Amino acid sequence: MTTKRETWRSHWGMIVAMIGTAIGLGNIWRFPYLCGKYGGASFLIPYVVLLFGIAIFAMMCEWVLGRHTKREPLGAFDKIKFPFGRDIGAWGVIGPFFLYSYYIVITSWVIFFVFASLEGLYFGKDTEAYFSSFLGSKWIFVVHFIAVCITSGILAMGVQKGIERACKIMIPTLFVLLIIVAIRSVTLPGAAEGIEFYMRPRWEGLLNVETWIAALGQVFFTLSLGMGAMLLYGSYMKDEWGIPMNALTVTLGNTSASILAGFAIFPAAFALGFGAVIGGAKSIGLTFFVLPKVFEVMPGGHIFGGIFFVLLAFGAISSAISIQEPAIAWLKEEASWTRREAALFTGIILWIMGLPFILNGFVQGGIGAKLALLSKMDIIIGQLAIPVFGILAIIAVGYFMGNRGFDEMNKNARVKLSHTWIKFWIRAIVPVFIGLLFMLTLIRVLQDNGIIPRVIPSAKDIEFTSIGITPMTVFMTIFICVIFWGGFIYFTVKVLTIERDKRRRVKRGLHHSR
Amino acid sequence: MDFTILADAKFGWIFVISEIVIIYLIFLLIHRVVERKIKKK
Repeated sequence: MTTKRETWRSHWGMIVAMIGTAIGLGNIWRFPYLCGKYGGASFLIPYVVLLFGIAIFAMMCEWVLGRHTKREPLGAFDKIKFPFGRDIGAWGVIGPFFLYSYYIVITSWVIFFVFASLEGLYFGKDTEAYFSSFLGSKWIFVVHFIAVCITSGILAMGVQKGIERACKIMIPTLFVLLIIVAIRSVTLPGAAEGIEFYMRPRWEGLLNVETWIAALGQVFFTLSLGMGAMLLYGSYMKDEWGIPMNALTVTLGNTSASILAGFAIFPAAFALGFGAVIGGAKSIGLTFFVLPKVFEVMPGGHIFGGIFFVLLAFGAISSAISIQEPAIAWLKEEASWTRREAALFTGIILWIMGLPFILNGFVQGGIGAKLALLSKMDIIIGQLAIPVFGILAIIAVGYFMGNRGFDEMNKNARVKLSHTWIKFWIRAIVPVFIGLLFMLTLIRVLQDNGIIPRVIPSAKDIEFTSIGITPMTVFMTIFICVIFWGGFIYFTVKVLTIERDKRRRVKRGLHHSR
Repeated sequence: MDFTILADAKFGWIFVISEIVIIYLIFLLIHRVVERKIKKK
């Protein structure tokens, strides 16, 4: 017996689900932090180059592999007869499990901070000590359980009624809330210095190799590549939707959210006197120690803090459902389980797998000790395993699928990519860059843990001294906003117009047939 | 209960790596069993 495979219901639904996968904690805390650390707009230049030169092609390869085979990651690698395809594909199902096990713990912190902000629980307290005490409290168990129930519940409802519907609500809401917080932030007295910090290129950052390594890691991380999710979501795509333009729309949407997050954070932090702290803050610290302080002194901080953490929770949940989905798809398609049984089962296993990270929070000591286990899992899964799986998906499309892969990429595409050019790029350039990312990350992990002597010098924060808004800062702000927001709005309107025209044609057809 | 061991660097690496390896191998085993069942059908 074969059951009809699920697909996205609408083109717009597919776009928001893909953006939902891509937008997550990486956009809202990691991107602004890296921008600040590596010299504001001088981080954006390598970021944009690598995003459109490397990451977008890696994403298209995952979509091609998924849509061509119409299978979950394990079945996809097996179907194209990739060497050890089942074992490699199995990683695309089980690898995201490990990622989810700690990602959902961070999501649960965010959910707690929604209530903590609305109630003003951390107001007037040392935020670092408050966060530390929360990690060792009974509330972490409650919110972790709620977070697992939310993602499992959404997934139990299916691709169209669960994932697509949830993303159609969460992603536009996330953008609206982000715009509200960004407007509040840039209109605070003294916000100009924060905009200058964020948008003024500090050229010493551009010439720093570390900046390029960080940008390469960020472009891969931010598009949720190398974890099986994009491959699986690609398998739900209909053949009538062209891959290149949709990949461009998703990339622009994802980066628009990242840039907006920077405008929501930096101007407010500088306006309220936390500029010096934010420039050197660690990524987790930025969100859970520094921003609560900003909200505490911000007029209407209860509300804006609540809104900020709600949008962060939406981004985190939309990503978390995409990393739980490969295992559910495997249980459904290979083991013939129902979607509800699979969602319940994976939910229970993932809840159990998250418990060691929570119990680690009860250890006496600083934040570092309480997050020791979580950061180790992040190094292995989030930093090392992701590029490896990503590179294998690219090799599968570039070398094993051959012309079938490149034909699939151009199938029903309005703008077709030249076969000769795309073959060269995907076979030679993209794997080399991702391989380089993996090697550099591995070297950094080994040297940070004292296994090998220091080869890559540790990064220095780039000094910031305000010189006021210069024409260069104004140019960069306008350029970035027009390219990303303008591009995203243009393609979104285009997709919605095509959808509307299609609905009208279907209606007319039905009318005539009557 | 005392969970101090979870913050120990050496134990942490062993725990995380062995968790990944064991769960991955269990999954491969389950997959083989499921495949055999499908073939029998």
